[in-house]
Amino acid sequence: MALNHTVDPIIVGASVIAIKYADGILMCTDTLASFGSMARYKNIPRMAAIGNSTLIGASGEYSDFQEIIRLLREKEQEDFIQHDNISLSAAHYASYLSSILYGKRNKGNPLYNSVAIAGIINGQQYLAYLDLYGTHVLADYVTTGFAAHLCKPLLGNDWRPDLTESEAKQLVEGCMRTLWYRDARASNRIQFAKVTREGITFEDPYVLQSEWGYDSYKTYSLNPLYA
Amino acid sequence: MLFFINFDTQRVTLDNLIREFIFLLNMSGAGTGYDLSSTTYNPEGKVYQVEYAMKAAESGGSIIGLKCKDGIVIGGERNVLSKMLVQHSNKCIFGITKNIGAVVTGVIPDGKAVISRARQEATQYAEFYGKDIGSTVLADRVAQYMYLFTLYGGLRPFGCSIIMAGIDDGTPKLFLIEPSGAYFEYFACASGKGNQVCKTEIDKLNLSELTCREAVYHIHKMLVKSREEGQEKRYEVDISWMNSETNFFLVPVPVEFKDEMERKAKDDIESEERGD
Amino acid sequence: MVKESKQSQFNPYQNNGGTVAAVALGGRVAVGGDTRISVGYNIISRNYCKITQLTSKAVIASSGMVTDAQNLHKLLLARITLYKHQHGTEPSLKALSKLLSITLYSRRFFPFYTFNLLAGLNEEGQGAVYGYDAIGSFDELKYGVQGTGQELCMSVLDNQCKGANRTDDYTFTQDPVELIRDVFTSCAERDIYTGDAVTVWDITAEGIQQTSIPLRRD
Repeated sequence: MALNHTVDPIIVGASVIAIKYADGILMCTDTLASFGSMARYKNIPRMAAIGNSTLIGASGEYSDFQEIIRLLREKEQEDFIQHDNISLSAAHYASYLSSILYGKRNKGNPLYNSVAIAGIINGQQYLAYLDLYGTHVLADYVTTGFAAHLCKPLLGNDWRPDLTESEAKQLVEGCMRTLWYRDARASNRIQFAKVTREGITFEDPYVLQSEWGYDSYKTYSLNPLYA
Repeated sequence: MLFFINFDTQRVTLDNLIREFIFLLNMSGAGTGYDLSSTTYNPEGKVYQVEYAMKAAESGGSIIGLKCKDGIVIGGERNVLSKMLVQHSNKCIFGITKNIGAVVTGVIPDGKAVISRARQEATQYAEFYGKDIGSTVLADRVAQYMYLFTLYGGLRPFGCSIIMAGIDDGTPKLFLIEPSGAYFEYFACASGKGNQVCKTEIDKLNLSELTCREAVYHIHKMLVKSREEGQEKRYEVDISWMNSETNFFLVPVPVEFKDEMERKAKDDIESEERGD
Repeated sequence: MVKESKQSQFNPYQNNGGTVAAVALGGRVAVGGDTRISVGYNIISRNYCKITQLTSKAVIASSGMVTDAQNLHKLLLARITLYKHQHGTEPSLKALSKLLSITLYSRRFFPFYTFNLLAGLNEEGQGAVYGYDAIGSFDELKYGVQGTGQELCMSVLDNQCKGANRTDDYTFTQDPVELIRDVFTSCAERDIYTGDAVTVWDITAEGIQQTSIPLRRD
């Protein structure tokens, strides 16, 4: 096997959560990239804008994420310089990326990411999930990494298509807090971004409020011997 | 065997005789033997194929580039060969990166080949260095590429001139690249059929005070003036610009504004003529 | 000495689960697929369509790995477009059956991890089903089922469509769409990879009709 094949990821980002809401799509990640169990880069973005209507977020190998961004931006410039007032949509980018991911997995050299791609197409929300095999699935809410286990049930209970932005934010923040409590590779420094009909907005990262004073955190075991 | 060799020698000799005959009749260069390939200089120290390529480039529609106070504007005109052509389906301005572009005159397909190479260079640079190519570097690379086609027997120099505009780290840049591979940086430049008239008009402008919006008007005016009089040929004008209004991306000037400036330019020229 | 690789090799395959079934009866064929896809115990979609329409009277239903199925369907659609341009007509069901076979076999040594049913009306207007393995072996059938629920469904279809192991004087006259719905409802009861909803495509000379009913979502 050639040495340059990604067999396991090195610098890794944790979960991505993206949900549709009334006026658009809200996406959230923490800003951590880990090197094994080490919190290696604590303030890096794990979401990026492609053009002015497509938002992408990824968990998994960070260098592969950067490569994905490069490829999509290259495509975006190629499209822009046509100067024809037609631009590629999130669906186009998702399809393009899916083909790249599939081609790479066929070579046994995958881009090691789970990806959420969001955008507005003809006024409608578009949200897709892609993985390292090239699987391409549309969804109302996307969760990658640990969030697929810890947050999907929470979103399944509380997600509605008519959520307001603040409701959506509250819901996703709750998910991120759950991850912070239970995913050892998650960080409490999180960042929101949204796509609406007006365009893409990135918010500044901030540190989640959390509460560690509960007895169940202080008392490590129910067995009084180890309490 | 012998027969063939004889036959061959005879033909070559005959060819040479004809050439010498033409040389005596006509000293223009054509038929002297020096103009068949770009591998040989003529006795004056020029390469005829390159001269011809320049001629091809000069025979295209006028193109103009103006560096202004607040940005940069490039424009050009093309003859429309048939009524049946879809309007604006055949542009002479091409984007290369988001903030580099070029306007082409001469043999347009040649220009497209050069643009295609420029785009490859730009993407390759971005992939390698992780940042966008500057127009200074790109102009140099494109010029080298065009220059290569003036060196080899099997190649034909490009029959096009290219005005490339870009913004390097916030500084507007303007280059004119010629078929010979020569390129220079300009404040303002013109090429194509009406380049003499355009250059005269450019000299009258105060470029350090000119805004992009005014430049659109002036480009229209120059193009109208440089057009051959009495010839009612159909033509189309393309103008693109880069300034704070466009986020410093090279984009076509809005059609309404362009048309308005074209009307104004034509009206002004008419009244100037009436005034004289 | 053979140097042993410390790192595990990337496994390009994954089973996303799900079941597809088809039943032909006279000039009609019904094709069903559940809409769940999973990775392990994780459901990645509850409304994923495993069936793609290929021509005006043929569809393909695939279970196995989603990404391979998506790309296989895309490849088939491209080949069918070429066929239409070259011949001026749609390919027949029989032509499609061979096309699918050679397409799968072209990847004999890196197979598409897909288990397919091709269903539609043949040139005589009769409903037909073709069943495939991952590398292109195929056979014409009256009914077929593939995917994680195939063991649960197959014996029921044997009994209902063929009359296998029946002592009564039985002929299959049931509505095939109803049969498929019942089979999927039962399958979803015991197969964790089958559920959420079943979409049934009813192909007749009049055209193709799609209906969907919910299944267990747990």
